[in-house]
Amino acid sequence: MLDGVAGDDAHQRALAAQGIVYQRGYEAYLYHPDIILDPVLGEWFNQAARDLSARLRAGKDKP
Amino acid sequence: MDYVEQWYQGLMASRYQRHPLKRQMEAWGEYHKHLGPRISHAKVKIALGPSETLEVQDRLDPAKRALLDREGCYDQIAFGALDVMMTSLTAAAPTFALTILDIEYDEINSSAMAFRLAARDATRKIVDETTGGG
Repeated sequence: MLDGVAGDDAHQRALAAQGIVYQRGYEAYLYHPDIILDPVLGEWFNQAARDLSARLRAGKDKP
Repeated sequence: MDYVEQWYQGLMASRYQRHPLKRQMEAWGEYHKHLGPRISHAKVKIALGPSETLEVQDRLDPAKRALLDREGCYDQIAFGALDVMMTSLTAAAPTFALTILDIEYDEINSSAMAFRLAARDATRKIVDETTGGG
């Protein structure tokens, strides 16, 4: 990419554009709880993402 | 032909007659990938040595050990080493001594699966060094 940005920078910009704060558990705002809380697929996410996803599913946090 | 049954009956034991690891060897393994909208990251340093049984131990400081336990990553490191050691064409061995020496953990991007894949990377490096690239 001649005029592009590096992957990590692009990642940060894409998150910022969507109003997602890059912090522990942020994947909960990107993936449906069915994915993050799945017994197998959930291994790709850390505990913070699983906790936040469970709270979002229960309606305790607003995206 | 039921290969799983064969495996359980030890009919493929000829693959394991001589332990491929002659001595304890160490390697860092890393997994760092952009997976669509997220990043996955983990680094682990392990030592593998010959053993008659499967042994898993660590020399981590208590804070790092607690981190792995909290996230369910400890077992996944062992599974990552097993993934490679059980399926290597040139250095397969169902038993070995695994020592987890150090980790690099990213609070935002590390996960159990990232550590499993980092452990696979470290184990592949050791197997490659043992077999000369096989």
